Formats: sequence, C-alpha cells, structure tokens
Amino acid sequence: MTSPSDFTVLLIGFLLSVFTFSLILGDNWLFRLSSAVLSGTLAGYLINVLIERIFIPSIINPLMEPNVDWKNQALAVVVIISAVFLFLKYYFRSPAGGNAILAVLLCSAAAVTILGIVNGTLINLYRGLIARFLPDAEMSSANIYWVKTGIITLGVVSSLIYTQHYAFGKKNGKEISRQRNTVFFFRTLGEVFIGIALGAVFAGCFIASSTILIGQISNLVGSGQEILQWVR
Amino acid sequence: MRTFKCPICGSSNEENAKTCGVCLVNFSQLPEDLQLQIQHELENQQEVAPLQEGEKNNQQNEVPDWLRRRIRPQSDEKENKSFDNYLDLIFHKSIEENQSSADLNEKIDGDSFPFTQEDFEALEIKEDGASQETEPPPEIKESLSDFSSVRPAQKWDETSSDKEIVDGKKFVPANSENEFVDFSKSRPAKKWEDLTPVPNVKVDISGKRETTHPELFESAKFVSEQKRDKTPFTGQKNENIKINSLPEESFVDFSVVRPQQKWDSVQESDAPSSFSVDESSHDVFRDEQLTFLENKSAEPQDVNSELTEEEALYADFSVNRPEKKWDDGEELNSSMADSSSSLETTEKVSNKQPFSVTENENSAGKNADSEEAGLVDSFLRQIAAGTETPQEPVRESAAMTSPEWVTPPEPAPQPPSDTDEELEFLMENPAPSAAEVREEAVTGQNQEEQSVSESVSEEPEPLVSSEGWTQDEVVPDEFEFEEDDLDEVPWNLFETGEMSLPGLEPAEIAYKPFSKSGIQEGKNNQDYQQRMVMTILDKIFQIEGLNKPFVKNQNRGTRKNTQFLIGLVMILGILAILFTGITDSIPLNPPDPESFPNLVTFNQEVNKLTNNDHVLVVIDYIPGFENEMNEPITALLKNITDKKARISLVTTNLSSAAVTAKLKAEIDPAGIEDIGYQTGGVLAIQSVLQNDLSPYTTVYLVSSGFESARTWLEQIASMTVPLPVNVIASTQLESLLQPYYESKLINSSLTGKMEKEIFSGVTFDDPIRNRRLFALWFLIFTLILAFLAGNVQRKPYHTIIVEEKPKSRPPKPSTSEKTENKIGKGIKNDITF
Repeated sequence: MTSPSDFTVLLIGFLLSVFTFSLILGDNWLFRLSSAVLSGTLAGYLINVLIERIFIPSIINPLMEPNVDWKNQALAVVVIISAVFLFLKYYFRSPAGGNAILAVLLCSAAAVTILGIVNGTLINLYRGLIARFLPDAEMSSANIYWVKTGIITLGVVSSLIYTQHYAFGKKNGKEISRQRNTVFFFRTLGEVFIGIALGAVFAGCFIASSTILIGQISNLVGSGQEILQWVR
Repeated sequence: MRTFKCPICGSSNEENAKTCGVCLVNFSQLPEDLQLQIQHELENQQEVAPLQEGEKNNQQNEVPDWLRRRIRPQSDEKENKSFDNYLDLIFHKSIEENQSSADLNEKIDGDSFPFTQEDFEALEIKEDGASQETEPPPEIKESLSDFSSVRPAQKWDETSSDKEIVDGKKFVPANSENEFVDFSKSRPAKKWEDLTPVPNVKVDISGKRETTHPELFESAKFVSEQKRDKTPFTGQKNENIKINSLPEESFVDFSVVRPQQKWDSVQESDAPSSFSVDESSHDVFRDEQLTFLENKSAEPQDVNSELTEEEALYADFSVNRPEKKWDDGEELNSSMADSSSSLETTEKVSNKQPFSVTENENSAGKNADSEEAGLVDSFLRQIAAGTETPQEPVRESAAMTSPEWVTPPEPAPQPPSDTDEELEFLMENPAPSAAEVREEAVTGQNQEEQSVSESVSEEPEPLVSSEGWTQDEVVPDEFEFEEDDLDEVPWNLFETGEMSLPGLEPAEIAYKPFSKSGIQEGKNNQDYQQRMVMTILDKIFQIEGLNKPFVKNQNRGTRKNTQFLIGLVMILGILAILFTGITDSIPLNPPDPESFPNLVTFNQEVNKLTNNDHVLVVIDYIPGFENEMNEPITALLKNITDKKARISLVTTNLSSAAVTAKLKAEIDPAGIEDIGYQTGGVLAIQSVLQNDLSPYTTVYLVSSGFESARTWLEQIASMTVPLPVNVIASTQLESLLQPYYESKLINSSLTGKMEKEIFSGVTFDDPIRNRRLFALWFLIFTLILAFLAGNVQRKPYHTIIVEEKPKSRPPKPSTSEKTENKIGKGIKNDITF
C-alpha cells in the first residue's frame, strides 16, 4: 500500500507528466505550468549542487578548516580573486583582471581540446582505418573482412571528397558541376554514404526517443493504475 | 636702315640695336636660332620691293611672312608642329626632352598645332615698350615691308583722311571699306601702330597711355567697333566707367582690348600675361569688358542690331570672334539665333568666321570664311582633344614655360582671299561648332575614362565554364570585366578570384566571388559591397550547406489533420497495448546472447574486473534518459560491486549530478564514491583522469550525448597511458560510436535496445515489460509508415544541392542535357529513407 506521502508525490508527478504531454495538443497553460514548475525545481537543484559541490568544498573548506595546508588555502584565495574578477567583468563590465582570468582558462581549455581532437579522433580514427590493411589484422583472411574494409575505405574517401566539394566548390550557392567524371562519381557516392550515416543516426534517435516515450507512457499508465487503486 | 623684328615681342628695331626698344630683350642673349632668324630677316629686307605699287600687288606682297609660313605648312601636314613643339622651340628644349614630350604630343588627336612661332610673334604685343616709343620716322615706315608696321599704316593713312565723324562715330565710306576686307592689311596695322596708349582717355588710366599719339590711334578705329562700343555700354551701372564718354580709341585697339579680354579669362588661373599694359589700364579695360560682356549677354540683339551691313564687314574678329570662341558659345549661339536677318553678317562672324572681318557676297569669300573657321576650330579641337578645357593647354604651357611674353594661342588673322586654295584642305574636315568644341573639351577627361571602360567592356565575354555561367554572374555592378580583371578589382578584398579543385577539370570553376545570383533574391539589386557582405554572412552561417539560416526550410507541409490523425493512432495504439494487453498472447523468447557480439564483448570486459581495479564510471546522461539508461547502468554497478572493485561516479553534466546521487543511494552508498559534478569541461576531465592517489584501471562511460561522449573519449585517448574504455550509450549513439570501436578507442559498447535489455537481465517473463516492447515496436512501425507517407507529398525531399540550384540559371545545351534535367527536377537526388 502506498503511503500518503508517496501517493502525493506520485499524483504530482502524474499530473505534471500529463500536463507536459498536453503539448501534443499544442501550447497551453497546462504545459507552461508544468514546464515552469519543473524548470524552477531543476534550477533550484542545480544551485544546490553548485553550492554543495563547488562553492563549499573548493572555497569555504580550505579557508575554514584548520587542517588544510597553506597551498590549498593560497589556491582558494586565488580562486576567490579570480571569481571576483569574473564577477566584476560580467556584472559591472569592468575588465580588471577578468580578461586575464578568461585568457588563461580559455587558452588552457582550447589547448586541451585541440590535443584531444587531434590525438583522440583524427589520428586514431585514421589509424584504425589504416590498421585494417595490415596483414596481421584480425580476421584478415576472411573475405567479408576485406569487403567491409573496402566499403569503409570507399565511404571515407567519397565522404571526404563530398565535404571537400562543399568547402571549396560551393560556387556561391550554385549547383555543383554535374559532369560525369571520376570526381562526380565519388561525390555522388560520398553523398550516398553520408545519407546512410545520417539515416542511421536518425534511426538511433528515433528508437531512443520512442523508447523514452514508451517508458514515460508506461510509467504514466502504471502511476495512473496505482492512483486508481489507491482511490478505490 | 634695315630693321628687324624682335623675335620676342615683334616690335621693329634698328639693325644695330642691341636691345629691343619695347621689351628690352638683349638680342645677343637670344638663342642662336632666333639670332639667325634676325639675321635672315635683315638679309631679306634688302630684297623687298618698295611699297609704292598698286593695291593688288600690295595684297600679294603684303601677305605677311608669318602667315605665308603657316599656310605653307598647313598644306603639308607632316610639317605641322604642335603647340608644345612650338614652345619647345621657343625655350630650346633639348632633343631628349622633346622626344619625351613627343609621346604627349602624339596623344593629341588630329593634326599638329597649326601655328608657328612667327604667328605668335606677330600677335605678341608689349605695350610697356610702346609707351616709350615715339612715332617712327617716315623713312622707317617706308622701308618696312612687314605688314605689321607698313601696310596698315598705309591703309589707315588713307582711310583716316576719308573718314568722317558722325555722331561720334567714325564713318568709313563703302568704297574704302573694301580695302579693309583683308584683315592682314588692316588689322595688324592697328595693332602694331597702336601700341601706344590713348592719351585722351577720360577714365583713369596710366600716364603712359596719355603720352601716346592719338593720331595713330585714331587711324586704327573701326566703324563696327565704334558702333558696338557705344551702344552696349550705355546705361552701365558702373558709373566710374562712362563708355560713351570714353574716346573710342580706348576700345578699338585690338592690341589693347581684345587680348586683354582674353587674358582676363586666362589670368584667372594666374597665368602670366604677355601684355605689358599697365595695371591701371588693365583694370579699366577689364571693367569695361566685363560690363560689355554682361550687356552683350543680356542684350545681344541690341549689339548686333547696331551694326549695319557695311559695318558688319568690319566686325572686328578680335572683339567678336575670340570672345565667342573662348566664352560660352552656347549663349552666343542662342543669342545669334534670335537675331534678325540683318545680322547675318554678325552671325557669320560669330559662328562661322572666327577670324574674318567681312562677309563677301561671293562664294569665294564664304569659302574663305569657312576655311578660316576651320583653322581655329581645328586648333580648338586639338586643344580639346588633349586637355580638359580650351584654356588649359595655354595655362599649362604658360605655367611650364613661365616666360611672361608667352601669349596664348591667338587666332591667326584672316589670310587674303587669294590664299583660299591653299586652305582648301581644311574644308575636308568640317569644323565643329564652338559649343561642340567646348563640350568635347569639358568632357575630355570623362571620355578618357569611358574609353578605358569601353575598351574593357568591348572585349568579348567568354563563357567561363561549361555550366552556362556567364560573366554577368560574376562581374561587380554593371560593368563587365574579364576574369583576370577581377583580380584587379580593389574592393575584392576577400577573394582572389575563381577557385578550382585540383582534381577538377580546368574549365570547371569551383568558386567565383560574390556574384549576384549567389545571393538571395531580395539582395540582388544592392551594390557590390553589400553583396560582398551578404555573401560573407551567408557563408558564415551556412554550415557546409546543410542548412541555410534565415531561410524557411523546405518541409513537407503542415497537414495538421494528417499529423493529428497519425499521432492519435499512435497514442491510442500504445495505450491499447499497454492497458489491454492484447499482445500478451504473443510469446517472447529471450534471444541468444551470441547474436549480440557487442553484448558479449561488454560482458567479457566486465568479467575481467577484479577487486584491485578502480573503476571510473562516468555518468553523462540527463534524467530524461533514465528509462533507457538506468537499468543497464544499475546492472553494471551491481556487477562491478560483485567483483569487489572500487567504483567512482563522476559527471561533467550538471543535471547528471542527481543521477549519480540516486545511483549511489540505490546501489551501495558505502562502497561507491560519488565525485559528483566537476566543473571546467575538458579541464575537469583531465583533472579527474589524473588521479595519482588511486589511478583508475578502467573507465565506463555512460552517455546519452555524442559531444560529451566524444570529449571523454578524446581526453582519455590523449593520456600518456590510455585507459580501457567501455561505453553504455543511448541508441542514438550507436552508429556514431562505431568508428571509435573500429579504431579500438572503445573496448566494448552497449548501445542497442535489446543488448541493454539483455544485459539488464530481462527474461521476457514480465508481461508489462513485454507490453512495453510491443508498444515500442508498434510506435516504430507507425512512424516508419508516417515517414514513408510523407514522401508522397507534392514537394519531394530534395538534396541540398538541388535545393540551392539558382532559378535563373539557363539550361545547358549539351549531351548530358537529359541527365541535367533529371537532376534539376530532383529525380535522381531524392533521398528516401
């Protein structure tokens, strides 16, 4: 038997879910009410997380606790000063120190991001493609392996040619050349591969959304059944 | 005693004179050619016949040398010299300089400058010297063969005895007027002998003028000038100048009045004056002339009406013709057009005879007039062809050469009628009117500019590519340039011209800068810079052509009824499956795990964990994906907990902090470390991964978004010793994570719906769970049907390339026209999923 508190929570959740689902009938005040309630709740929760997870452990504790060494305290002071500078920059339009802080942060983040993209995506993805042609590759003796390798290689090359066309052959939005040559063939083939890839992504999103929808509806139905049983 | 003309001012000087009596030029310092000229002149004087012959002989003999010389070269165009050449001759430019200026002279269209040095010398007057001059002795007059001194003296001596003064006008009998038909006989006489100022002027003029000889000046009176001078100046507002009260000598002198009028216009540009009339007389005459011009422009008919037919024969070209020449010819023409028929003489003087004084009834006289007009007009054409305004060449030349005695190119006097044959060549080129000359001169610069543009635009327009592009699609604004010229357009700041891919054919242009057709329809009419800006903005916001911002996407229409019907069917079907359990009769058997290789691999990775491992579980999905992600991640955490491995939950998504807290609370609050939310993006990820105290052995990434998952994968791969990564992701990431799996950046992944269901331990015994699966399949099936039904819409789903096809593009006549038409119709590129 569900407790009254649980029933209240269940009822509120059920109503908010129904209100949110009412968007399928168009924008209405029920949807706006539910979205406002949920957004406010989420914002309050996020503020709570920031205070509890960031502000107190990183700023308050190093300065207040006696067991913290001076390095962490100095670091906390630096963080506080940086936060003050950023606060002045964004709320009082004062560039004093804020730009320097942002420069350090953004440059560091950009460097790390570029390193990750180059080393993690570009090099490794091409390495993985090339590694398929190595003689000691796994299942290299199977014909299907080489078929797959050929298709992957063809897709990569044609897709790159297709995107290269868009980068340099746009012609001010004009239609590309339709001359039947090798480049045209690869461009068309690349377009097919990209279409398949986008279709696969769309299908994944399709399934994921459907799964979420079914899960939510199922939960809603289950909650409704429980509410009915509690009423009875 | 022999005399010679000063080559500078043209005044007569004795043979032994060392300096000019008028301009005080030291003859010994003259250039050699001028000295030779003087010497040659002295030698010629010995051969000159005395001037006691009949009238006709005098007309032939008295054709001045300068006129004879200039007539002769005009018959031979090769001997013509340009004005610049003449100046070079005067100032003795070196050959190199002349050659350097030859190019400039060549630019002058038409013939060379028709006047020679002697012409200018004959027209140059220095009155400063004249004021000091006394009347030459009679023997000197008689010995002079030059018309400038001798011939007019005879003329005027004869006429002065015959003339009568009627009402203040000097009347010349008709029979004696014929003797003045020839300008060369009458006009220059007044010029050279009237160099001395008028002594009896009533206006304030200099004392020099008062010391002159009135008898000589009176002999230079023109009846026409008397008539005209009197009438227009009556009623002047300037009371200081009373024209009627002025002696007629003040206005009749061509050397004083007319050149001054000319130089008034020239002196506005600070050009040096060649006339040395004292300043006081300048001022007086300038005022007189200005007022005269004003009255003339205001009352042109009065001026002309005062002239009788006889007087018109003596219409002084020096007053009329140059004035019309250098002044605006349109006004004069308009005024002349309104004049009566009695003013025909004046009209001809104004419009046709720049230098003539008379108009003879016979055709010969008319021809001579036309030819003389052709001389001046050809000269003006030459000036107008090379400079902006007719005055400019004089100004510039004077400014360059700078001597004050350089005079503007005075129109040549009328040659005698017997020289008509020699000037017949001028009839071949009908002279344009003064207005035309002026118009040409004013628009000279524009013509040059237009000629440049025309030379460019006259070039043919080659088709750039085989796609039917024309130049007008590329050329900025209304001008059309060659493709190469586009690189020279200074405002083409961001593009260097057309671009082509290395693999493309040379004729296939891959890119052209800022064409009109590439911009939206509403912006085509703007100028080039605006098109450039819009093109840049269009390129910035157009990401790989996948979307075009600010443009309404072409969709499948909004058939709301259909959509509502499909949505209603979906909802009702799902509710029916979930509530009624109509699918409970359909048994579901658990699939063979071996048919899911990813699931097997993932299980193997989990089984490898030991109690010494420190597993970092990254929770990177939002609460909305809990229905899809909670069960597998819960199963994973239970398996890891069963392996006695340490678990640390961390997230870089703020909203995922609640999920980590929930998982920790549900699974094992004591055995799971909840690091929670870490701010800082990639820096936070690196900070988490660099855990030196307790390094992680394995990373399990649970994500619902590709961007965050890729960021985590990249940062893990960039570590010195990359950690093994296993991924539990949403279904929508299945295809995106496949390349990472192929590249072995991911050891295993669990992305499919069934895989996650099996990994979660679903045995398909629960009817509610089975209903969910049936509802999911029903929804997917319905959506696929709806998607396929959407393709039956009137607007097919075109590719991006076909959508961006310009509407105005002309069809290309080629062998592949059929294929092109298919492509244009979107038949080939329709994408149907």
